[in-house]
Amino acid sequence: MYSNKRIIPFLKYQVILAFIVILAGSCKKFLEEVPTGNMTDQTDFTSAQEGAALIIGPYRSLPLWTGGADDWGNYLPATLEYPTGKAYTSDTHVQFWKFQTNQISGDMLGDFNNQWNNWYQGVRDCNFSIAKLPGITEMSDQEIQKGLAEVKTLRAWYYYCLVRYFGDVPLTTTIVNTLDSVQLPRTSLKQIYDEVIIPDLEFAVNSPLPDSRSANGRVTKHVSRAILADVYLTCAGYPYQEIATSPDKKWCEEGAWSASAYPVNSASAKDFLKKAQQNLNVLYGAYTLGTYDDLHNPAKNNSGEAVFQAQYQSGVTNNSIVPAALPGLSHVSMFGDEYGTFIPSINYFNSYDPADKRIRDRQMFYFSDTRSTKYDPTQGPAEKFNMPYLYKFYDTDAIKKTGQSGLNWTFYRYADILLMLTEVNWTLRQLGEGVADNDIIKGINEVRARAELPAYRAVDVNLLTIMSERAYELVFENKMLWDQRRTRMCLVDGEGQFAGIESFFGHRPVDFSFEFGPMNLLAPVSGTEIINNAQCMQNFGYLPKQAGQ
Amino acid sequence: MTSTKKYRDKPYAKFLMIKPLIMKLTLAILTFCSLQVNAHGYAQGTSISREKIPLAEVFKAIEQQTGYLFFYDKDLVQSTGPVSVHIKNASVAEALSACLKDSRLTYSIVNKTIVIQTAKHTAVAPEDTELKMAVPPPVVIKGRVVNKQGEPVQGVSVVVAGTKNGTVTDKDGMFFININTDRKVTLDISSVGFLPQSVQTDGKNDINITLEENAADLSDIVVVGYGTQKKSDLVGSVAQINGKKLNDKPVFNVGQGLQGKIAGVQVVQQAGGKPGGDPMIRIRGTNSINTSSDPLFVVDGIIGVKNALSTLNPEDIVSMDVLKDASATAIYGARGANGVIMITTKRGVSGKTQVDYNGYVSRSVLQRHLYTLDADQLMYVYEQAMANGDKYGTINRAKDFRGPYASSQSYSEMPWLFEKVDKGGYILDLVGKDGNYYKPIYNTNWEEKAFKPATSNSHHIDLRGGGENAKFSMSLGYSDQRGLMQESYFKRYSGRVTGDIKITKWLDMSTNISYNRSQETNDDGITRSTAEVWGILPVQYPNDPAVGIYAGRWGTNSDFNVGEQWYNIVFRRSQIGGATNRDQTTASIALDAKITPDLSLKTDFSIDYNAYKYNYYSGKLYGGNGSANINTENTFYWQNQYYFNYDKRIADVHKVNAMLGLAWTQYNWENLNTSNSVFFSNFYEWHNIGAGAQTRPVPSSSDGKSALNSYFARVNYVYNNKYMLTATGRIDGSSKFGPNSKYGFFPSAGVAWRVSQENFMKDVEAISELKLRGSVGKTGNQEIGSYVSQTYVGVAGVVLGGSSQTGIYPSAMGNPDLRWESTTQYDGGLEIGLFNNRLNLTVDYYYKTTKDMLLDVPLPRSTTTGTAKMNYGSVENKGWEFGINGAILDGKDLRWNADLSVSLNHNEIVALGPTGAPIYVQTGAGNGTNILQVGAPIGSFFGLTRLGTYSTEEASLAARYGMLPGDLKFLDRNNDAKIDLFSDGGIIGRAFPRVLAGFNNYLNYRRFDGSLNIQIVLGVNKAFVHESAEDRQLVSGGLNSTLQAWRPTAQNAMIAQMRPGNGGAYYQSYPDTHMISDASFVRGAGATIGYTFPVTAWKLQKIRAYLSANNFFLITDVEGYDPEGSSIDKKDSRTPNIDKYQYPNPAIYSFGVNVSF
Repeated sequence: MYSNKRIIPFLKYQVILAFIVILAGSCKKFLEEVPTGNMTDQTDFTSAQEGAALIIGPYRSLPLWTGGADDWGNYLPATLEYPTGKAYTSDTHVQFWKFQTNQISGDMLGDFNNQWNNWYQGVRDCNFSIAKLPGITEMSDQEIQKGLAEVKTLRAWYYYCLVRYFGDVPLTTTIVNTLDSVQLPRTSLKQIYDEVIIPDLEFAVNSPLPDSRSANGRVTKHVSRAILADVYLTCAGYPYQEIATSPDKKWCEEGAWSASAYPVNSASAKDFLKKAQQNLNVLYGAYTLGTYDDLHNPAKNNSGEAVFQAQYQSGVTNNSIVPAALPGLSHVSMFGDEYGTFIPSINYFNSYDPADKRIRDRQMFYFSDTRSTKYDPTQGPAEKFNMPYLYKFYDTDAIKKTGQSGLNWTFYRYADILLMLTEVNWTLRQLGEGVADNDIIKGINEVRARAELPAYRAVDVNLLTIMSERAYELVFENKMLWDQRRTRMCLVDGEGQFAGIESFFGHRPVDFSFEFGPMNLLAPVSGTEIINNAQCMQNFGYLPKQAGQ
Repeated sequence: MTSTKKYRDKPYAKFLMIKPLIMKLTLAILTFCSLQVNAHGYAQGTSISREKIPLAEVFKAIEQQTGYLFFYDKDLVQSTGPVSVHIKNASVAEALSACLKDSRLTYSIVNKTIVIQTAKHTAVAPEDTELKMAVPPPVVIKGRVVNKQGEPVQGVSVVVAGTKNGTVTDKDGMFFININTDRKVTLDISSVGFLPQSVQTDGKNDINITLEENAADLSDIVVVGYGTQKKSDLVGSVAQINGKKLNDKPVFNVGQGLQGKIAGVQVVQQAGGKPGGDPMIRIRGTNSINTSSDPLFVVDGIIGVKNALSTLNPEDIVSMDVLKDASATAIYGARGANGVIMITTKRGVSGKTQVDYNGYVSRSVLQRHLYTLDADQLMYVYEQAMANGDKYGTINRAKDFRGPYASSQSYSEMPWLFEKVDKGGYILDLVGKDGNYYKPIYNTNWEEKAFKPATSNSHHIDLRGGGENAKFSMSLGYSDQRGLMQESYFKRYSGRVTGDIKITKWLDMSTNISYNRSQETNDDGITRSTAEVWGILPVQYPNDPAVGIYAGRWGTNSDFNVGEQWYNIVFRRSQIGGATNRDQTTASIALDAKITPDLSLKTDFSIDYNAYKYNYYSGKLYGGNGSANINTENTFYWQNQYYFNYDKRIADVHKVNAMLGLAWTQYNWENLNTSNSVFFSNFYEWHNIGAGAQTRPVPSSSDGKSALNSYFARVNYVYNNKYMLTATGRIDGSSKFGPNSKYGFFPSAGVAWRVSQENFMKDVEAISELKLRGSVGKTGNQEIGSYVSQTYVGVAGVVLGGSSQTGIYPSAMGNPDLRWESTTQYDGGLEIGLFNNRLNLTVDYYYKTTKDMLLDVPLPRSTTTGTAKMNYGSVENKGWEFGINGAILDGKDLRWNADLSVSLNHNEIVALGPTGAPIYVQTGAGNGTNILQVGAPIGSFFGLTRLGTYSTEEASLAARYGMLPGDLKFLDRNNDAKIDLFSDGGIIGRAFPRVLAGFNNYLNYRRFDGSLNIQIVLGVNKAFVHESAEDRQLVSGGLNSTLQAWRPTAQNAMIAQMRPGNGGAYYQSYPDTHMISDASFVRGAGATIGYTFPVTAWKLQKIRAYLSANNFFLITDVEGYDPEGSSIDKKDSRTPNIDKYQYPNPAIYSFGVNVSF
């Protein structure tokens, strides 16, 4: 039998001892937080494989190009075509009517927020990699320079998209890691071209990157040159040239656009065009034009005339524009939904030359199809299409079998390079530079030859024919919006050809309730940015506005 | 006896004798320590074998061996000669009988105290006065105390008023008390759970007393953090609900039982009538925006038990105590800000083993309806819409099936849906391309197909027993709750075992292990198809070659190919299914060591282990790939706490209770998710995920942990039962915060004054209790994820050239300066008991302010990932709580108790992020958009004001907005000729009510019992997000309110003129006032009538059968199935009332039995 007289004091000491032991134990360690599943910004990146991952990371925003714009059937490439006035949708979720009535705002679904976010995500990734890459000890200096060249090309690309779409935008080129410096005012787009976009691309063109085509979607010098040529061409036009002549005007905020003549006759424009010409000349002849079928064949990804593409792989990272380009509710595909939201307007289509191969059935357009097995095991004919639909995004395997498309989205292809070459050379001649006839027509005529259209003579080439050819060839490749903005000229729909080219100001697209004005040269800035960045002003004419704006 | 008598020289024995009232309290505390266990039986375990020893030594030995305390007059015991005792492993009772058998003494045992008295009072020899007693000879008063049912009550304190002379009743309710004055004294009779009484002896020496139960609160003891407290000593605001009231109607989860019962507690069945329920509980409003505002659940001392609301079986619960003010919650420091719900489950009792069974069967039926377009109405809308199509867009003729206009198929080409009729043979002239007239073949009511009456059942059995040194309980429960939708259920299996073991005299151990398994179906997104599928479709086409390729197929919207593809609910349910499986084990072992009689050390080690598995399969439907998911997560929580408890009464009037402790807790989680698609058959579902042929199914996983290290203390001080003070403090260190701000200090203090104890109140007979309370304190909140203070680098597979490569990028923005969110709360309370506490009123006013919120501050996307957790912003909640309960009728046969709880809460955001910019949630059409804005409450609906439609006269006004007569007209607040949600929107409703009330009635009439719960909610709105079924005409099926659309002859409409949404015509939709309705309601939450049979056969103690109805009436203006809750996909605890085709909340009728053995 034991006595509590002995037990209790013993226990007391035990308890006191236990307390001392517990209290003396390392509290710090118990509360230390060591993430296991994520690296942090404190991680040292030194190995070659970590370096490779730093170079790859910035590519992740490219496939977002065909990502959603938040409403059913609404995909971002469509949001870049709706404002041109040359698009149509058979589905109304996408709120095309707001474009038609000039009621778009920065809060409209994800039309503007997502573009802003996606491109800035790209910029952020690039800034991170550019800061961290020099610390990779397992890479040679040349490898690091190549990596930097890739990443800087991508950063230039993301910024190029931002300034073309939104005008002046906040500029960051470093890692932002303090929470008190996250609100930035907009920086002049000219400054962004001069200090980031052009230097980054020139860095790449002068880097040890191979001066050859990209076989896998990675940036090569060809990619940098194609973007750089486009950048120079754009800088030779609007709004860069206007800002260069009157730097004190608040272009983006006040909508005070004045000039509209194209081409712009200035020393700076000429200089840019010459630099563009140099780069295009390197690319000229390095590619060949294949068939129109190549454009929608995933097997031809990164080959043929492809220069720079957003990369997809069926079932892993899918191209979302394929079902959006299908006739709405047509029952022709295995996709869960056929949206009918990415369709050139019938007037645009009617502006093609009837002889153009591109509008022949199943070249760039198609007019009928069979039902998919999902709806009809016998694959009988589908309902008659009420209008032509784009065949250039018709990924047969995805549409008829898998419902998931791995077709790449093309940013630059050789036909575009050829048409840029014609435009650059034609413009230089307009500005008084000596350019050979052949240099003007060689690009455009190669494109026309494939379309089985008669060749142009140099005298036939003018802004209308160049822009028309771009419209025919690059239909719905998200080129027209930039063309309209940099030239401040719009094509007028016609029958068998475009009826003309006219000033952007006052142009009223068919089925639009208003004439384009200065505000329509820019997209509204992302509504969430306006709310969360008090420094960021809204573009002229758009909602939501900054407090006090 | 007098105070000059000498008693045993043990200090605590003296203390016990100082005033019997104190003894009573000590006894009460001892009782509380064993958690409502009644000490009826006495255990084995005393062994003494001695010859001729003084009785006092025997008592001492018994004390040492059993932990019982003796209470006796030293002189009395000394006057008894030595005794010889030979007992082995005897019970206390046997031991006492053995040693007292030859003496004139007798004993009684009250809880753990043995009272030794002279046996002459037992009527054997009342005239025997040989005992050494003071002169004048004392008079012995005998009495018996019973309850209203005539059953003896043990342990009742009987004290001669104005003296320290007292005793307690024995198991037969008997007491004996010596009085040495004349025979006219007043006896104060009191006991826990009963109203105190004063009885005049008036010269009688045989007194019968019937105690009245204290209607206010049967238990009178509340469970607070790390202990229990007598309600009268309480300084904090704590409300209690016992198991009986919790289960006054059959409930599948604890939340349903709690609804409407406690002032200040809001319970919302978040997912409507979905089985499993997922109730959301808010105590005194929503404190915070991005951290959890759920209260802390402490189940039998295990802090923060996961999913306590849905996995705990309500039948296992003895009581729930809701800690509301800071004085009560601050002891949980960093986890107490949202209030604390203490759940106490059933434990073993000593004595006869008791077995209880409760089971019921219930039938759920649809209570309200969603009114959708039937086949005829749909065809009318179709014809009208197509006719108006050109007005609103470039009509897509491929979708125009009207014969004369059809570019391709028309009614005549759709034999699977339309049959030929004579001209005029149908209400509409549906003309086919062939010139014939047609009508739809089918008219399907999808609601009827979707929701059918369902039968649920539940069974629970528990077994409790034990001896004095070891008590046990075990229970098993099974619930199968069926939803109205087919294949929709929540099944729960629960089991628990508890043990309370007295290891030595000074060491108690209590353990419990509980295991719960539940399975809950995934019903997400399915309900919506009831409104979206065309009424002209069949569930399935007949297997008839006449319908061509449609033979035997399921009806889907694309068969009438105008709009979105929607699969009918029967088809969809057969193809899409999923279930969440949860296994939970909680276990705890607690030791209670008595170091001195005043000081004890308690320690516990507890775990809460959860295994979660979610299986989902979305079938191939027609042509789909089929996809399967398996997501698993394991969480493991442990806590280890040590705390000293010190109880001391100093002099006569000072009562001190102090507690000091520390704790370590850790929470670990790990998940693994995998999915696959491209299944060649629906056969496998999720059961063989490798059968899918997706190119690259990549599993994903993550894990993490968080830890808390805490130090806490509490002092309760009561002076003279009048003035009370409670002070608490807790220091919590959390791993979730940055290195410089890991520790937070959370103090509280409260005072109370029992005015009714003051002399000047003694004469106010009507007021039996009057208490004023006040408290202030600070609590914290740290319910954010782990590692948010650090800046992540993300990793992603990036496709390049047809293969995936690893890329890294900056992901979440960290914040190394992150620190605690804290809530400061002030509370003032008043408690009044009238007419011997027959009517009780509790009023509380509180003011809470939450500061340094752990806010997901929206940041510019130009420089950041868009959000970072930052300490910004402030929210305040203030409000009144009223609780009234009373015994309205208190007859012998008929008793009616009623309680009414009313709470008013005002919530306001006082400050937000760095710019003060509002935060919008769920923006865009098809959402219950809400706004977080300074000056507005959390849960404010945001949207445009829908003015109606433009009339023909307003054509030019409409044109200003690019619109036409017949289009929707919205308020253009800034008059800029543009309609924009954010620029023209405003606050249009509130999702949290202004007034919450519950009215609960409990009736007994002879063998019948009944209860009635009425739930009242006022001043609240609901977003009925049905734009998809009204604005977007012909995109899919619709509500029949679409028929109220604008027409040239009816221009005053809230719905735009019919137009083919998917036939090329635009439509406008915004979150707007049209979708907001007043969601105030009065609900018959529950009604039960029971009958207890007079059965004694088969050793049965009780058989009760009952009938019950839940949700049996509802008065409300709101559209849709229920004014409360949200559709599953719109669930947002900051905005609980968003209905986008919510799961209907059924009326439930039950039959059940309770059987006790």
